[in-house]
Amino acid sequence: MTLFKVFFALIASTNLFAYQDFSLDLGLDTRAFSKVDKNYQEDYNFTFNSLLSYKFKNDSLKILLESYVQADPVDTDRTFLIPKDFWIAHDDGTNIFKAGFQIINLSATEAFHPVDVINSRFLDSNLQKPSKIGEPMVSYKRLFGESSSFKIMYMPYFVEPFLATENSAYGPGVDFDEIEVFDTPSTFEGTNQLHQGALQFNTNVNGTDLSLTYINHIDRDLPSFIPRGSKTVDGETVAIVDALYFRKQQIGLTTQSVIFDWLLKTEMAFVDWEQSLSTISILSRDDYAPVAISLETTQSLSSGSEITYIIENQYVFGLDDAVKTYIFFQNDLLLGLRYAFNDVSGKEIFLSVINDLEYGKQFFFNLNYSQRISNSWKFETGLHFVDALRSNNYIGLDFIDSSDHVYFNLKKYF
Amino acid sequence: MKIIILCLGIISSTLSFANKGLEIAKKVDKANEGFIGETSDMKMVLINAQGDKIIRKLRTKVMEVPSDGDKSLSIFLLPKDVEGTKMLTWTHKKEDDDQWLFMPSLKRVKRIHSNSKTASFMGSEFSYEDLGSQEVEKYNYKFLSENKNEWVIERTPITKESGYSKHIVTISKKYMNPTKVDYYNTRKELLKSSNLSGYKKYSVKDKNIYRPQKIHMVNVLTKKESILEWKDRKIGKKLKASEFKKEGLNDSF
Repeated sequence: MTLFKVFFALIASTNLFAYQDFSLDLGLDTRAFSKVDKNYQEDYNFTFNSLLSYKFKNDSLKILLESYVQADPVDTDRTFLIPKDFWIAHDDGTNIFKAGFQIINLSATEAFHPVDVINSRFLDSNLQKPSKIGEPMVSYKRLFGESSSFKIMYMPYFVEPFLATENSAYGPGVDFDEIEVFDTPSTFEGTNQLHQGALQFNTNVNGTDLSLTYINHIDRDLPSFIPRGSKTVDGETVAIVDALYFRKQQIGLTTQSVIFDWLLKTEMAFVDWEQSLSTISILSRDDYAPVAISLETTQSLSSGSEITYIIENQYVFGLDDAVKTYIFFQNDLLLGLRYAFNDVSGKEIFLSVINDLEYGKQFFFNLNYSQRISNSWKFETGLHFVDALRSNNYIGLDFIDSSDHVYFNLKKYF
Repeated sequence: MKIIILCLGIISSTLSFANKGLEIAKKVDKANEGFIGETSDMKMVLINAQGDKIIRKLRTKVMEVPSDGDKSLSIFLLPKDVEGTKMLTWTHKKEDDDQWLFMPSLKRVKRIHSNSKTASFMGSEFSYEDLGSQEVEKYNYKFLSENKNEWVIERTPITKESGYSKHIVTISKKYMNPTKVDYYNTRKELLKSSNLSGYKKYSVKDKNIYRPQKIHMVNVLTKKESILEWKDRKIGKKLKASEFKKEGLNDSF
């Protein structure tokens, strides 16, 4: 009730209809996998999706309502509606109060994002850039000085990640039956209503952008999976697995700076699990510290085109072997090349290869091409290719070795 | 002795042309000072060699910074796939500019390198260098000629990252702004030519400042053209400093 009063007070205090805008995107995503084991996985390979957006702005009042809908005509597990940014804000240029679902991006680097962990993700989407789900949040940001700010965030509800469905080639072919939040030692919470929070301080020191964050929340990246029997679906036996999520604290630091012709970007985090590791040994894991470092340079050609070269490494310190078996990038090097034609169609090619330096012969290739067809149509196409299956232990990229695929996505903007 | 006198004469006249060129550039800069803040909607028409046209739109805000280069914010409106993308630029008189890009689809603020000066802007015949703040300190000057209405000067970029060897700039004495700029590539060939027209007078604190309503750029080599037109331009506006901070790049509007 109080929230409604605040909302109407804000509306009444401003001159309405200063600026508002509706927009709609409609998309068709298709993909075709080459190595899917038909006994366990059946990916139907196309979805329709839409992003509906409403923006309102007037003096200090801002409203952004964005929802994403995806529909898979066959696999209902891949059909859903999620809020992306769905908030109301009071923004006087110095103080920004915001309430609602929010997408937070703490990234500095291009491929590995150890600091950017606040939002849950849709893990059946693009593996390198999985879509984020809006997090219910109340936040306050204060800008001060030439380039500094402080932000405090309170998140009262744990939003579950969308795990790859049992049919998906991205997943292990099991049904994640229950998602449990394991907040304090030895007790399942049985609820998603939990106190979570974050602090962020941004500043610029001698031309370097610095961002320091502290997050205390339920982790979304490293759940534990516990088998809990099996069930029969359409005459087939399907494994049932519970996904358990744990509270953690994380301190993160990102930097972005220009050094000669290069952009130097770093992301580092220290993760401290709240869970008492001695209570349930199967769930034990150590605290760890992922560090990513990235160098990027862009060369302009006389034709007006640009080539960008990216080199990026992520190394995870202190990770125990149990967790290493299902974290993709524990010591990996990315080499990337982006060629932007800078023409009227906005043609762009991106080519990257990730090599697991620890396990040697594990490679993840990605080739992407995109261009506009007109001012309101765009397509992208490409392929993902993983060459990783080297043992029966499922280490690093082994998990997604069967996810080789080509894709073609078409989008219409209204 | 005669040779020394001749050399001194040549040096002296070269310096005098350089000084006069610089003086004109400073005079033009001074005449355009004091605009405080500027907002406008821009339309860019891209025309290929066959005459086909494509439209781009963006909204720009510029805040004057008396002690340094200006700060500008460009918000892309069309094509739709980049709608809401913001580019924040802090130009500096001597050092490289600082630039950040806000990408609404990722909600990410990315630092970008300002060495992409020669890259095409939105697929047009304008490069980032053409549209950036033309600080006096970033060029060497040479006076070429003068008539009743115009000066003609040669401007040579100091930075080696420029895509040009020189600009030949025709400046209107009435508008104290360029009416024509010829761009020469690094091979010293004429590459592009722009005509600035439709100058409109704006009064800011008893000072008259002129701005063109249209720039027509023609690429002499490819025959492609781009026309940049301004709409709803307002000058003398006091803009919020927070809009020109990286920390203020929160959302797509």
